[in-house]
Amino acid sequence: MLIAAMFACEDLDQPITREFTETSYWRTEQDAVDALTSCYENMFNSEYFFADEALSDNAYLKSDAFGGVSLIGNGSYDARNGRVTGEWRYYYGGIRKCNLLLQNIDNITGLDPQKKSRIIAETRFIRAYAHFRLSTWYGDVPLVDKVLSLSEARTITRTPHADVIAFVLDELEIIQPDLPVTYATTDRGRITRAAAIGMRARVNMVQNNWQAVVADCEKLINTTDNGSFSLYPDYKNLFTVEAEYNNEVILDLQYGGSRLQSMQRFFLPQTVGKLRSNLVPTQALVDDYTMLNGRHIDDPASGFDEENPFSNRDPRLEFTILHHGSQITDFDGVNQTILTEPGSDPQTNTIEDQGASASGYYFQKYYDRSAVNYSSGVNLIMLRYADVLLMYAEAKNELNQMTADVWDKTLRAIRARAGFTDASALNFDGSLSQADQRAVIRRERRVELAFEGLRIFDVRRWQIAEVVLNGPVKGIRVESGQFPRDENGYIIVENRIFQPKHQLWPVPQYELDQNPDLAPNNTGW
Amino acid sequence: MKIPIPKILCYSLLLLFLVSRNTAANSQVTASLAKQRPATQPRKSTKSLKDFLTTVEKKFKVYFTFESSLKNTRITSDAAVSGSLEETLQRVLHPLNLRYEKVSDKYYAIFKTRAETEEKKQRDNSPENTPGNVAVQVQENETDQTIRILLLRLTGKITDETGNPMPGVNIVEKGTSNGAVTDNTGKYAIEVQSEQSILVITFVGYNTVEEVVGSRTEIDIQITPDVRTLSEVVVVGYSTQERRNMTAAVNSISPKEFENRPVTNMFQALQGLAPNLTIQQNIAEPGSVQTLNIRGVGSFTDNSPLILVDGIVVGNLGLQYINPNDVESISVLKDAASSAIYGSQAANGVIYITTKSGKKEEKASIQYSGIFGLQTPTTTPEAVEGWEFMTLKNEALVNSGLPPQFTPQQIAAQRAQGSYPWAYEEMVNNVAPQLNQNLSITGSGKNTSYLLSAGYLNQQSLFNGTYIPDDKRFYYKRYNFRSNISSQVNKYIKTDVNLSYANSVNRTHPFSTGIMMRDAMRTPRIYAIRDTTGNFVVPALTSNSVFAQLSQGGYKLLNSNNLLAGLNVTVTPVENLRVNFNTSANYSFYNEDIQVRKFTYAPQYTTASPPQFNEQRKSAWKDMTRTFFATAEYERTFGRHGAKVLGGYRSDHVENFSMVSAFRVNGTVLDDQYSIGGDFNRDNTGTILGNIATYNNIVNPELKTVNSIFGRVNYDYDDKYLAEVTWRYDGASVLAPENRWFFFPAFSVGWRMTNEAFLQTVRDHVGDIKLRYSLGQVGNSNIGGFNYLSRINYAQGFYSFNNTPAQGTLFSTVNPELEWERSTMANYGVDLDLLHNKVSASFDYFDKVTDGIYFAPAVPGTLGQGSPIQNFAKVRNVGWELSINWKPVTGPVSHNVSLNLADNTNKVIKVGQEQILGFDFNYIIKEGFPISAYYLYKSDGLYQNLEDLETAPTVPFAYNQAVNPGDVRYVDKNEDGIIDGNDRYILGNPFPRYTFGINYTATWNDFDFQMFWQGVGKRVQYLRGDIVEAFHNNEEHLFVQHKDRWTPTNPDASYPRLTASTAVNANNTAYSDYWLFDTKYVRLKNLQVGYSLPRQWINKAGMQHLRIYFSAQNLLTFAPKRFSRLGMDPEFTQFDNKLSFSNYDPIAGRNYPNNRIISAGVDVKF
Repeated sequence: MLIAAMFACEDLDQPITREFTETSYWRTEQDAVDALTSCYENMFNSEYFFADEALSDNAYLKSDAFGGVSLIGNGSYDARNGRVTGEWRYYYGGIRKCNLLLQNIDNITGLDPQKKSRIIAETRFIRAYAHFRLSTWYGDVPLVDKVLSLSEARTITRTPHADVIAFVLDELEIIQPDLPVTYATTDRGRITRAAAIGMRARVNMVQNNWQAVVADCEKLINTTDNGSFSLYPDYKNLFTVEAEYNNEVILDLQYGGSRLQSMQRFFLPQTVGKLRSNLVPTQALVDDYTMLNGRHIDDPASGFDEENPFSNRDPRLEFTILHHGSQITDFDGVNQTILTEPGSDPQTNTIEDQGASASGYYFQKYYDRSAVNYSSGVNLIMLRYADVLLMYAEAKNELNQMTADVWDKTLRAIRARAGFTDASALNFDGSLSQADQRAVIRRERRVELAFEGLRIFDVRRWQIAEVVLNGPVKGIRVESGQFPRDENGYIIVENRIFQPKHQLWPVPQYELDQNPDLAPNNTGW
Repeated sequence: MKIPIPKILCYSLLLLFLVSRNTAANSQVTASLAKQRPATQPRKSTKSLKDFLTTVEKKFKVYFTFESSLKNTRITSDAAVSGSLEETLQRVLHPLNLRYEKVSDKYYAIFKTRAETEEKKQRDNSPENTPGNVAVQVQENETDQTIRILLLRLTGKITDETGNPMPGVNIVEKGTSNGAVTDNTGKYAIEVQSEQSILVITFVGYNTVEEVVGSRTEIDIQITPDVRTLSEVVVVGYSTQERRNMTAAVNSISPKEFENRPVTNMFQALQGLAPNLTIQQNIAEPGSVQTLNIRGVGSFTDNSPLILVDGIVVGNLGLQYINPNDVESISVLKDAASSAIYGSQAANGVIYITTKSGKKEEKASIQYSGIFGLQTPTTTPEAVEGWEFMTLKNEALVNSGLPPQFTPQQIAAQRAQGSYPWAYEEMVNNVAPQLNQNLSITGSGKNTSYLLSAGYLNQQSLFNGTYIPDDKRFYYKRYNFRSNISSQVNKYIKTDVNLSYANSVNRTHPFSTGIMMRDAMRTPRIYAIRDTTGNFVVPALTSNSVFAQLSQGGYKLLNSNNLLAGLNVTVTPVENLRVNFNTSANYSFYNEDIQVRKFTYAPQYTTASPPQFNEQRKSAWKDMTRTFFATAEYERTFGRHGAKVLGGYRSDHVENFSMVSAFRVNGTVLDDQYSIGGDFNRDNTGTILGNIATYNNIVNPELKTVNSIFGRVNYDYDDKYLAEVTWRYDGASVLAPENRWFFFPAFSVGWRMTNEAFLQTVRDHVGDIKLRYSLGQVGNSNIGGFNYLSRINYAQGFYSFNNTPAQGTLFSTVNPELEWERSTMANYGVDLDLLHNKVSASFDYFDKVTDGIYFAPAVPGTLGQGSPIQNFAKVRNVGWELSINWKPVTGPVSHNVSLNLADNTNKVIKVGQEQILGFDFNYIIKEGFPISAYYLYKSDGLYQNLEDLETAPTVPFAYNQAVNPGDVRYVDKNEDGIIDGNDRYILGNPFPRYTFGINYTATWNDFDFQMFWQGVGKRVQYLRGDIVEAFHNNEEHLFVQHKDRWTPTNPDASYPRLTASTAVNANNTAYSDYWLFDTKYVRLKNLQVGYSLPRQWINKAGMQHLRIYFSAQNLLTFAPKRFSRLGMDPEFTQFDNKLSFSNYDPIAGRNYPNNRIISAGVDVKF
């Protein structure tokens, strides 16, 4: 009986030892800041950043990694594709986090009003950006501006694309005054006023709101009220850890400290990344790098020599892409010469090797040699000043307002920074028609922003997908007959098809199963 | 001087509690008192000795043996049953010139006093003490009266299975009433009529032995326990019960059934021994635990049965720690009636293990058993020759629109040169030794009995091939120690102290086994293991050499300790009342040391990616469970009414997984030993972690308490009608205060129908029949705590600002109304004993509905987060179990055949929106279908020609939405011309059905033989990736079965056209039944042949018993050809015990192989 008395009383009210409970939350400023950090996690990620390139004609992805973006790229997908399913969930997850913060931040008493409005503005930016991404892929998507209940989530309907975009544009406008122009050093990487302005310009681009694009861009070009931006002098080093937080960057996806990404292993040569090279550039991208004289290689006056294709090319080609004979210093500090042509020795990086690039090219932009164990802390730039300049140039041209002044401010500056010196590349050519100028600007945009995940958006808004995403993906020109080649000897890496329905992704099958009110699916799906 | 040992000894026995059939085979000479009493005859007052002893047996749970001539002896009227057993017997027997002798724990023999005296004198006078002398006396005595003439005089000694003398054993000349009984030293003497006479040796609980006399005059016989009869007393919750009175569904397993098998843990030991106790594995590496299910899968959270060792909750890991040699009995409580006493923890059944203890008044003895075995994989895949690989890779590339990789010259050269050994075979197809040793000491003093045991297991890893240096071998070692001490403190108090300590050391590599198996598997035989200069070769497409990793990459050392201690105090304050207090603790602590070593490859292997840093990760964690329970049990009979009442209180407190851990990485300085001053205190980003000794991670324990009160009432009437009611009222800390307490009731009834007078004929000609029924409700509390609170999760590194990781917050979903998950189970059973107990059989049918299953239903992604866990789903399990035991004797060979067969099907009754799950295949949880049914396209052969393609539906997921001849054709279920999600079928279910075990044993003289078959009658498994696909994911897998691929000239191929491009192969690798394999199997789990050396030889060495044997595990396996040719073991599953896809390795054949073990062993008793 004594024993019973000794042991019998274990309390059923055991303490919770591993987690905090919500009753103790929403009390301090730090609570709001932490909740906001969690929202940032769903703003964007390195996988989408790089893998989106394989959705476009800039890159080819050999494996079915990253949710099957290669299957989207070559037109072999349906509503159950992993990426199609995953991105919906990813962004609505972020939207919920944002709405939760927006709904609860008033519970925190004594929060500095300025800080509070800043936090709200950052949150609304992330929410708006999420809706922008969603409506870009899926067209009409549910507009969610509050925390949904389960039953609401099961019955919510799709908001027309135009309304979603209008919401995004409004939000990006409204939050601008609450966002700081610059942050204290410790807060570098947060959303600035310029980020909201620049992102708004990008959304307006998609809508062909040229006048609005001009207005937005001018807030960043013509005035320093919203931050002072300039082109970083060295294109080659722009995408490295040393260059982080320079004046060209308007918004970048933050890595560093223990938050790292190791996407470079998927695109570096296998002798460098020690993993098969899956995500590689296409010949089509390489071809769009002009000659040093600014002329496209198809231009008979360009001086392009097919036997010596990499000489006298746009310097950004060398900075962005590794080709046969390129040099690269590997993680161990050893200088490697990358040989991709068949029959080279060693064979490891040549196109006949099963682990090597299938196109004979490799990306090297965003190669971070300072990465330890391949894990990089380099920030991935989502929006930079060069992009703003290019948007401005494009909008001006679409408005038929392209002038030498605009040219000099934009394309000339960008080309000069890239290392062009030839006058024919740098000087404004007033003789070009609007359409010819459009081609120049679009090509400039493609090569300047190559491997930054933006090409697919441009392909979609320019409505050129049925041309550039249909047909063979090509790699280097080879002599040997054993490779599938086109009539000029360029190897055919993959065949792609693009049908009208591919203009939009389908609403994921999973979502339709869970919420029949999302039906009907997009045309053709 | 007469020594009245009678010519005819008719020993009867009475079984505890209710009089009944007897279990001995020879009914001519052993007659049950119960049988002699007509069922309809009212009970008499205690007038005859027989009736008196019947009462005493019931009361004290003992058995008596006595001469049949004594049974009608009248006793005096004051022969009331009062005081202790000894007092009662002394008082009643003494006046009758009778005395009693305790022959074992529960057996008493009644003798005439004179006999005792004379016998004693004889013993004292005889230096040899042989019973032969006694027999001589008998003969002299008998010749005076000359009733019968006996021709041959025999003497001998009867011993038990361990060589101990067996007193009170019945020896009868077959076909006569002539018999004898052994004395205290196990010796007997008997006269028989001829050399053709047959001796029949019977003893309760032991197998009957028949021996032809022949020319012998001395016949020593060893008798072996009857496994089935010994388990007649079944451990049930907080008590024991006789099988014959059981009304619930309980299987008891005797260790006899797995002893001397080279099993390394109880999972392996239990497999196949109890119907519907399903044991599967998804990891086979030494030291891994397996999944257990009793009666199928009823929940989505956790279907682990409650596992108790001597009353202490130990969990699955407890089965890993316990030494199979220490196990006395195992009860598997299956239905609600048997498990409801464990209330909220019992929805998935209960496994109750009792450990061995010393027997009272047992001479001290030492037993040693050792078994040494050699392990090899049961099966391995088979790679094609090097040149075949080259040829077929070219074919695949060309089929994929890609250039061929190898020139004809290269292929010819490879063919001429021959293939290299295959990396996979070199890696795991090794012979690894395994040694089990056990030493136990049992015995007793006056009031104390003890069992002390020590066990040692050393299982070497199959990875230990020729490339692994001796000092870097991998192994699992376990040391077990146990001390069970039982003391009768005084007349009222008995204490049992059980202490056990297990220490296991598991040394393995620090990498992922699945990845290494994969790397080895995809290495074609065109690569050597080492190059000509002795460097490990890194094959193309592979970042490592598995041999370099294993031999140079470091290790993972897990040191696990488990301490189980329990004190049980039994107080018998008054007659019929037993009060029990038990306090115990189960404490486990673990130390893990992971060391990854930096090493390098030869520079020519430019794609090699060895570990870049020396890395050390240390962690220590512990789990603790404290238990207290107290029970009181009162048992009484009133005339024909028998009743037993039990009540109790229990409290379990768990402190789970508190951990400290630290890691350090050598960033720049090559410093293998992490000596002071090395650059060790950085993480792999270069961040300085702090001082050398700083642990940088602490995990708090998770606390949980369950308090409960419970009770049980048993009632029986006239040995015919049985009833039991059980309940438990449970409260647990994991639920919100208002939902914490719940009541779990159950009842069961039984009818021994053949005890009815009108079924007497059935009983005489067929056997005993008992019908059972039970119904009850039990709970499942296998969820983490605090789901009723909205919790905050902080994590570093959600995002970074200014290159500094920032802390982010996540909010959990919450459901404050969470209650117990509850199963309601009905059980219908019948127990049969047929053909004079030669055949016994049980059949059970159950119907179990689990409601309020913890479930987080699928929710739209638009919601932005998952659903909280809810009491939502409902699942029904229906199944049956059959077990049959048959004991024929053919000539000198006795056989024992036992078979169990079971089936179980589940069906989801409620789940809301169907769940389509899985990332490497689809499975579905949908109302009206089994849990985790495969949800796949249905294939319809391969496209053969362009004509086929014209009629083919559109396949949007095919490369460029086009199929080719040699591709898999899918059935367009809805005939809309497109293969999409709507064309999927619900196909099969991976949970094993028709599981069975067949155990056959035979003994012939000193030889014994055992054969145990186990298998699954119906199951399908989806396989994908490495093991089934050629060139999966652009890798270089190619096995012999792929040679039968589709080509225009091989239209009936078993594999589609070869491709070597993920994109081009997308049609064929879609989730379809093309990759669904029939994985039923039957396996010779164990084969054992033993020989016990004759006693006269071993006695000289001071041994009582010496047996040598050969034992083989997993010797033969039969499975459908399409599956077995893959070289995959059929026992693997990728699902866990809730049928959730939990381990990728088994689905892709990437797991460490299952073992075949050929072994030899020895059992010695001193």
